[in-house]
Amino acid sequence: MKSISWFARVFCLVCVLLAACTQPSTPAAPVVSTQGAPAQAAPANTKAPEPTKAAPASTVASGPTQGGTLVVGLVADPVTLDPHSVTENNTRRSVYAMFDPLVRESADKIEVEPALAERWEASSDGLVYTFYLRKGVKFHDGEPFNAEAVKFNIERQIDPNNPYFKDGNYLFMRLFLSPLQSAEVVDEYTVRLKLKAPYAPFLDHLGTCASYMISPKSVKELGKGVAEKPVGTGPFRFVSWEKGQRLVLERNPDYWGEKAKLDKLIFVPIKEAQGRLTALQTGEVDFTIDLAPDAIGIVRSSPNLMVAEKPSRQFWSLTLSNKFEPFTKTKVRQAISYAINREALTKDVLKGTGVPAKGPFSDVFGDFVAKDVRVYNYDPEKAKQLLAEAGYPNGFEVTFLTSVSGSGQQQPVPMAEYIQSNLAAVGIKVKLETVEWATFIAKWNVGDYQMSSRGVTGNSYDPDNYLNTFFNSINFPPQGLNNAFWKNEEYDSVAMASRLAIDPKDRLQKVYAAQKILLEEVPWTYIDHEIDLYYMNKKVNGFQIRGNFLVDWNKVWLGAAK
Amino acid sequence: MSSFILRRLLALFPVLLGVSVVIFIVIHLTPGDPAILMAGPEATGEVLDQIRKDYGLDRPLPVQYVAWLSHVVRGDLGESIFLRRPVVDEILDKLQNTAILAGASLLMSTTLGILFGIISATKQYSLLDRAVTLISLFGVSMPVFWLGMVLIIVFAGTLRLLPAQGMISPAGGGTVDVLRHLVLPAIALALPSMTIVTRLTRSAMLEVIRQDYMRTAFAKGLATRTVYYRHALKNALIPVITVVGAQVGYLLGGAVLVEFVFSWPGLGTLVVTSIGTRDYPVVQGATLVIGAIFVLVNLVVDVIYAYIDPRIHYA
Repeated sequence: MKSISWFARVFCLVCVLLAACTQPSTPAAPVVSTQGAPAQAAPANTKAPEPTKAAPASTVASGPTQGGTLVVGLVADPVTLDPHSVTENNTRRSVYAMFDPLVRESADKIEVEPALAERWEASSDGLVYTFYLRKGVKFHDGEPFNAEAVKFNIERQIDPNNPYFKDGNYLFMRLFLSPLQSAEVVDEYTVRLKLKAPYAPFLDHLGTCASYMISPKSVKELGKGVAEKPVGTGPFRFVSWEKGQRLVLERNPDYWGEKAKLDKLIFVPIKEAQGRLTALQTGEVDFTIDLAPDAIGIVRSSPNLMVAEKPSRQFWSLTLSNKFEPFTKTKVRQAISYAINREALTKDVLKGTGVPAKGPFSDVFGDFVAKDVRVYNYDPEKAKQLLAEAGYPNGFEVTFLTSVSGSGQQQPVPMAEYIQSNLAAVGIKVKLETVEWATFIAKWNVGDYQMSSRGVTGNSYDPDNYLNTFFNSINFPPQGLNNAFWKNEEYDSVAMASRLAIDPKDRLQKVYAAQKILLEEVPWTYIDHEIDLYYMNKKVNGFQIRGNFLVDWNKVWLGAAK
Repeated sequence: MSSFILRRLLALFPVLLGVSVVIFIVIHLTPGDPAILMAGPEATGEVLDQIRKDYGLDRPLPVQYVAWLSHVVRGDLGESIFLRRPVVDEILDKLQNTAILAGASLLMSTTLGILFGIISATKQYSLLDRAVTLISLFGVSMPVFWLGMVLIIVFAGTLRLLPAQGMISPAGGGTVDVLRHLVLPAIALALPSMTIVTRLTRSAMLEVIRQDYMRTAFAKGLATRTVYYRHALKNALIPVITVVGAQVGYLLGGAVLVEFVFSWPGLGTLVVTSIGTRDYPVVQGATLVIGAIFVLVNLVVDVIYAYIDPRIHYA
C-alpha cells in the first residue's frame, strides 16, 4: 500500500506539472488572425508566375525595416567557408552572403552584371579581358580591395607553385575557368585576365565562387584557416561557426552595395526533411528549402507560412546507353519520348514541383531555347508504332538504374516507378535497380548502366553547360559526362562551334542547330524541369532568388512576426 | 584482479586491429568513389585523378591500409578527405555531443528501468504491473527513429513544449538551452533500452524474492521496504548491470538514428555522413574510437560485476 501511494503521488504531481506547461496549440486553430495579412501582399510571394522575377513584396505600404535575425534551415552543415573550395550548393548558400565575385549573373536577365568590377572590355580575339574595379571597397578586416587582391586570389587557385595552392580544393576554377591562364595588375584598380583559348562562357563562369574575393591578408595569416574564418567583401561578415550546430553572420555596415537590412543571419543544418518542416512550423527557423512534395500543401495551408517558387535551369532525363542495342536506334529513343506522360508525372507524382520538359533548356534560358524543334506529346500508339518499325514489335527488357536520393534528383524512385508503368504500356519491360547515391554516381559517371535517370543543373545560364558536357562525343567517360556514349558527328561539330563562336548572333544560330539535333535524335529523354521552392515564414520579405539557388540575403527584411 | 584487468586491456589491441581490418575491407569494397563525391558530378578524368593522387587513393589497398595503420600507432588518425581537417579533431568535437546524449539516455534508462522493474516485481500481476508490461512491449517494438519523429511532431510541433531539433537554439546557448534540446532525443533513445532493463529487473527481482533467505528476512520481522531495497535489490542487480554494459553499445549505435532525426551534431551523424561521402579516414577513425569505447565499457562492467558479487573472482 505504502509503495503504491508514494509512486501514485509522484505520478500525479508530474502530470499536473506537464498540464500546466502545455500551451494552447495556436497554429492549427482557425482563430488565427489571417486578417493581419492583407498589406503583406502574400500572393505576390506564392506561385510567382513571372519566371525570372523574384517576388518583391516591397509593394507593402511599410518599407523595409531594419534589424532582426533570420534563421535559415539548411540541409546539411557547410563543408568549408573557403569559397574557392566550395563545390556544392548547400555550402554556397551560406558562403555567398560573405563574398562578392568580380561579376554576377543578373537576377532577371540572361547577362552578367557588375559586382566588384564596374566595367570590363574583351579583346577581339577573346583572349584578354580587362576589368576596371570598383574603388573604395574594403574587406571585412579593413584591407583594401584592389587589382593586387584579384591577382592574389586567382594565382592562389591556378599556380601550383603558389604557397597557398595546397590549402584548398579549387575545383570550380579547374572545371569552369580552365582556360584562365594569368592575371596581371595594370594599375591599382585595373586588372587584366588572359585566357589560353577563347571561351564564350567565361564572363558567366566568372560569377561562380571561384571568383569570390578573399582578403589576401587573411590568407597569408591563416593559410588553411580561412576555411573556418572567412574574410570577404560581402554584405554579411563572419561571427562564429559551431560545426554541425550553427553558422552566425552579422551585418557588414561598410558594405559597398545595398547594405543588409538584417542584423544577423544564422544558418542551421537540419538533415531530415521532416525536421526542417517542423522547425519551420514551430518558428525555430524562418526559412528553409528542400521539403517533400507533400509539404507544399501543408505549408500553403499554414496561416503563418508561405512558399516562393522560381523555375530553375535543372532538367531531369532518362539517359539511354548506346552500349545497349535497342538504344542505338533513333526510333527506339523517340518511341520512349512519346511513351512518357509528362503532364501526369509532374502533376501526380511530383505534385507540381516540376514542369514538363520539351528539351534540356527550361524557359529561364530565354532566347537560348530553340523553338523550331520536334515536339513529343504523350502518344503511346505512336510509340508502339515506332518500336515496331525499329524491329521491336514486342518491346524488350531493360534494367533501369536509379538512386534513392541525391541533390537535384527530385523523387527518383517514385518517378522511376511511374516511368516503368508508362513503358510497360508500350511493351518495354523495365526492371528497377535502386542503389544509394554514392554507388549510383560511381556507376552513372562511367556509364555502367543500360538505362538510368539524372537531374542535372548547369552552373550558369550558358547553354554550353549542357550542349557539350553531356552530348559531345569528346566527353565520353572518363574525360566527360557523355556516359550514354552517344556519338553524332554532325552534332559534335555544331556544338563545338557554338562554344567557340564569339559573335552572339552567330552563336545563337549554332545553339539552335544543336538543339534541333538533340530533339530529333533524343539521346536522353527529357522529362521535366524542377521548380525551385523556398519555404518561409510570412514575416520574411524582400526575398529575391538568383539563378543557381543563390539568395540575395542583403535584400531580405523581416516584417511583423506571425 | 589486477592481472585480469591488465590482460583485458592488452586484449584491446587485437580487437581493434580486427575491427579496423574488417571496416577497411567493407568500406573499400562498397562501390563509390570519394573523389567523385567530393568533386561533384561535373568533375571528370584529369581532375579526379589529381584528387585521387593527392589523397593516396590510387595506391593498392594493402599499402593504403598499412600506411594508415602506421600513422594510427603514432596517434595520427589522418585527415578527412571531404572536410580537410584532422580526423581526431572531428571525432573529439562530435564525441562530446554524443556522450551527452548517450549519458542522459543511459541515466534515464537505468534509473527509470530499475524503478519500474522493482514496482512491477513487487506488485506482480497488479494493474500497475500490466501497464508497465504493455508500455515495455510498445517501447521495445517501436523503431527508434519513428519514435523520435513522433515525439518531435507531438511535443515540438503540436504542443510547442520543446525544441524540434538540434543541440542549441540558433540564437541561444547555455546549459538550460542544451537541456531543453536534450529531453526528446534522450527519451527516444532511452525508451527501448529502458524497457529491457525493466523486464530484466522484474524477472531478476522475482527470482530473488522466491529465495529462502528472503523468507528469513521477513521472518526476522524486517520492514517490507528494507527487505526489497536493502537485500533483494542488490542481488537482483547483478544480471542487470551486465545488461547495462551491453546497453552502452546499443546507445552508441542507436544514437546514430536518433541523432539523424533530431539533427543532434554527434558521432553517429558524422559516421553516417562519412559513409555517404566515402570519407574513408573518418569512417575508419570513428569506428576505431567506438570500438575502443565499447571494449573499455565492458571491462568496467565486468570489474563492477566482480566487485558486487563476492562469489565471482577472476583468475
